[in-house]
Amino acid sequence: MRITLRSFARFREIFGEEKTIETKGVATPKMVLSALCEEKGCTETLFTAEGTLHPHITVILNGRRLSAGETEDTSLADGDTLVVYPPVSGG
Amino acid sequence: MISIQKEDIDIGALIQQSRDKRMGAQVVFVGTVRDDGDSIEAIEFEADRTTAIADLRTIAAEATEKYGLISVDIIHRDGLLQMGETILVIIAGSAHREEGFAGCRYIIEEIKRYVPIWKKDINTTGDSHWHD
Repeated sequence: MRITLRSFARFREIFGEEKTIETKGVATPKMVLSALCEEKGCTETLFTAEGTLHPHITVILNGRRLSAGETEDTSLADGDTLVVYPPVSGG
Repeated sequence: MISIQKEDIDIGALIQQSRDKRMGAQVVFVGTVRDDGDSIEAIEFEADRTTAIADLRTIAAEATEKYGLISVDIIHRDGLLQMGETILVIIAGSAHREEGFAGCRYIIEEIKRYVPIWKKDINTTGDSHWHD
């Protein structure tokens, strides 16, 4: 299946503004991000030493913010759009 | 008005537009690019505009409901801003000052908590870094 990944700010400089990711079998947002981080050598940027996403990182699936648990147990579907935000700093 | 824009903000005009005869107070917050003494020349703001505008609308509705505000205006800029430029204007219009101050405070704190806007310091040597 094909997933679109969009990212912003610091993460845009690592992953690119938008990219299409091909996955096989069941995949969760965390699995996709983990594989991408391994490829880019930036695992520590998104994940703690225990392997969970840093709490200040926001993951959005098809316009809806996911909880930490949902990033691990939501199955992605063909055509999904995943967005990943670094910590915000507006205002 | 809820907006994210590159253009500067005419604060006086915005105050006039938002004024309503039911208001006894308009509390205005203006965020500006400050000189921290760290050789910062400018700040670049980036936003996920679609989600950020939806979030700002949610925050405005929450503040209106929670503090009984009569009107809320939030304009945040993105793009490259020089020292001293306006980053953000919030106007909370209310019958009395207490609700206006509380509502305005609520709005800025919520923006800082989760609205997808990021800033990158650009210093005089040309180096830059994103805020965490």
